[in-house]
Amino acid sequence: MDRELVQGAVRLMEQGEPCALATIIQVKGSAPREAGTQMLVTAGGQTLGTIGGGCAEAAVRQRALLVLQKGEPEIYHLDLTADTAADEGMVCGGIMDVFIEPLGG
Amino acid sequence: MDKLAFFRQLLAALEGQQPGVAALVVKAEAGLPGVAPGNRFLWTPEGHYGSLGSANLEAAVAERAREVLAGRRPRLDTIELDEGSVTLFLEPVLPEPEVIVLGGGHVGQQVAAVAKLAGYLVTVIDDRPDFANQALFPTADRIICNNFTAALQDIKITAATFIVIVTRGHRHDYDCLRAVIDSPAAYIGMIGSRRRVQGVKERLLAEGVREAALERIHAPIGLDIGAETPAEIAVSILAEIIRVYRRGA
Repeated sequence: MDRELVQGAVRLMEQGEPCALATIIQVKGSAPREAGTQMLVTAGGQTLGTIGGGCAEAAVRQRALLVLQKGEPEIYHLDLTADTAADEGMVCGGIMDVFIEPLGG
Repeated sequence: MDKLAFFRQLLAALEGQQPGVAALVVKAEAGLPGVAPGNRFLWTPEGHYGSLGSANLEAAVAERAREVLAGRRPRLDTIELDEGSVTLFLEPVLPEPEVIVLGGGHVGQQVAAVAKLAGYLVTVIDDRPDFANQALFPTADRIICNNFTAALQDIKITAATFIVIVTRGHRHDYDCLRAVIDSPAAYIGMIGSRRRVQGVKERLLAEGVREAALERIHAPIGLDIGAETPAEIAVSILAEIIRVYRRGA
């Protein structure tokens, strides 16, 4: 659990700025970061923390913006083993479950 | 307790170096009123915060807490309740490891830099303003200019604290060692030749410090890699600290 990230979440909520918290809850195979890694995404699309960068992170960021609109948490399933992943240059090739939830705001 | 209050509590636990287990509902079968994804709960030995929406679920977290803390890694657990099953993400909240550098000389400066590089919180203590300052320690989290004994009385030493004694003289080494010898620190290391270390140890023994307490001191300090320069010595000290932190020995 990263202190700076929790601090960031508290700050954003205090400012009334809507944001989504993405937490990797499960990893299978080789993924860039382990379970427990978190990233904050603001409604403006800014991020705090990293869940590994690259296309996977970009996809989670997009999804987080949707979750913010919807207002309901969800488990986002990323399959980095698919052919498209290789085409996109994602080298790690694992499966990642990310819990994305809207926080305050 | 709303989300903001919960995250404030979580932050307080992290800043207070208090261990705990954070639980998050990530999946819940229908038929469990009040149990919804996103519910959070924090278990600590001193108290509980937040709510999962079911006392049975919170009891399940408390039951698993020590195991999760000992395992040091987060995990997913599915809990079967009479009304259906719930998946929890259980995450240990561990104190951040902190390196306390006693002495702001050449070695202390390098130890502070390498410790920061390795991701530790860093506190530097020296009684000389010319050494305990931000110009010499630009990356340190905390710099205390005070005499060693007084400074050590004021700071919190926990099982996540690593103490590096690299002062300029054996009198200060002795003061520092005496101040921390009975602390719960994970690591106490002291620089110096075998003779100098022996002298300090003998003086403490004569004062009634138990021999077992002296055996936990890492002296000569650092892994034996033939280090000579202050930077090399700092690397060998951090290598030893990392081994204690990751492997417990």
